[in-house]
Amino acid sequence: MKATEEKAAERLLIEAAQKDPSRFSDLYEQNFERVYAFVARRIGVRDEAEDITAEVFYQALAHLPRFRWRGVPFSAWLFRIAANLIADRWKRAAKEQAISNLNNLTEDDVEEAQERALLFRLVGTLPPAQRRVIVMRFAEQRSIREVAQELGRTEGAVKQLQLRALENLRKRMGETNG
Amino acid sequence: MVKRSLSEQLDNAVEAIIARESSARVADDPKLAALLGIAASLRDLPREDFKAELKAELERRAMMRDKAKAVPEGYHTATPYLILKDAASAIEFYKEVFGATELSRMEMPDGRIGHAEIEIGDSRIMIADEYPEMGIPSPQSLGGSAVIIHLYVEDVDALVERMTNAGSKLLIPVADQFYGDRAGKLADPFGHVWIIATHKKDVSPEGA
Repeated sequence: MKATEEKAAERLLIEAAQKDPSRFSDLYEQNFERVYAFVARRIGVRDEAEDITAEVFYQALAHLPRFRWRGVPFSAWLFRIAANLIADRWKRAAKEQAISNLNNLTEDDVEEAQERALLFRLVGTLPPAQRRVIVMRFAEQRSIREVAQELGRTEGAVKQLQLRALENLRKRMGETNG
Repeated sequence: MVKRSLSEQLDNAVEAIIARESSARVADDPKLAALLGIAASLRDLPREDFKAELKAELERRAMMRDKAKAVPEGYHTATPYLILKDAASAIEFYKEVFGATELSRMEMPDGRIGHAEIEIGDSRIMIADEYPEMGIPSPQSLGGSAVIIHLYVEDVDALVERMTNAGSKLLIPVADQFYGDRAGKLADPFGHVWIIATHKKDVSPEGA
């Protein structure tokens, strides 16, 4: 899709969700990985990253009726909410320099989050066994032994699956960005 | 065998990345280095359960928002409900003297008004004909009203004059009150009692 078509499609999604909040889940599906990637990059602790990501979408849902479409991507608004929430958390931890960086999000910041979001989505396109290994290893942070037990494979086989999965992801990232 | 050792090396590095060890070293082998870049990004891969649970929670919240508002648009918390003998005439009277707008009217099979709504200024008033047989009498059937409806308007003198000209009974003439309002009290031709007021100056409770 061309950028202008994407913008128009997104605008329709936003307007639909403003009329009927149950349609918000479409916007959620489109933006979840981006927001999570953006937050997780800055909040190293998984539980906290999940809390903040949830809060971003709660606030977005609550304030959606007041959202005015001005041609900027919906994700820019979500990143802004996320940045404010992260800054609040950092304020309590007195991280002044980091907060100043958050207040001046650059294109690199946004691109970096988009890139990771793409990678997270590509995990879903891997062959099932490879996908399972990646999800268990990285998202669930399970050891090779645990993964092997659960999948009923040898540890060596799981390591092979992990290798192939990462090779596939690298290849697909290259193709998508190419 | 080379492939096998690559998967071993990779897993050692992945282990360090997941543990966020600062010793997660850059691999010499460029192929391995590229894969470790991917692995480093995957460290923040979201849990699938989290994504699904958050979606379910958002859908629950969206549904709550979707529900009708407890106080519908256009209403305040409190709304007077006037029972009248000949509600249709009363609605005409309120339109004439108060400039009320009729919002809705529901007539019963016997011609009486079961429910109607008018708006005066920013406030709605509900109206119905009396149903004495159901224990819903009008002030005329009761011989008086125990409730006063208080209206703030721009020009109390002009409105009270309109009301008296249209057959209302002046109970207390318009005068400046110690609490900062200029007000008067009337009974309309249907027996309902009104205090009509214009706020003139702010008076603190202590000064009152």
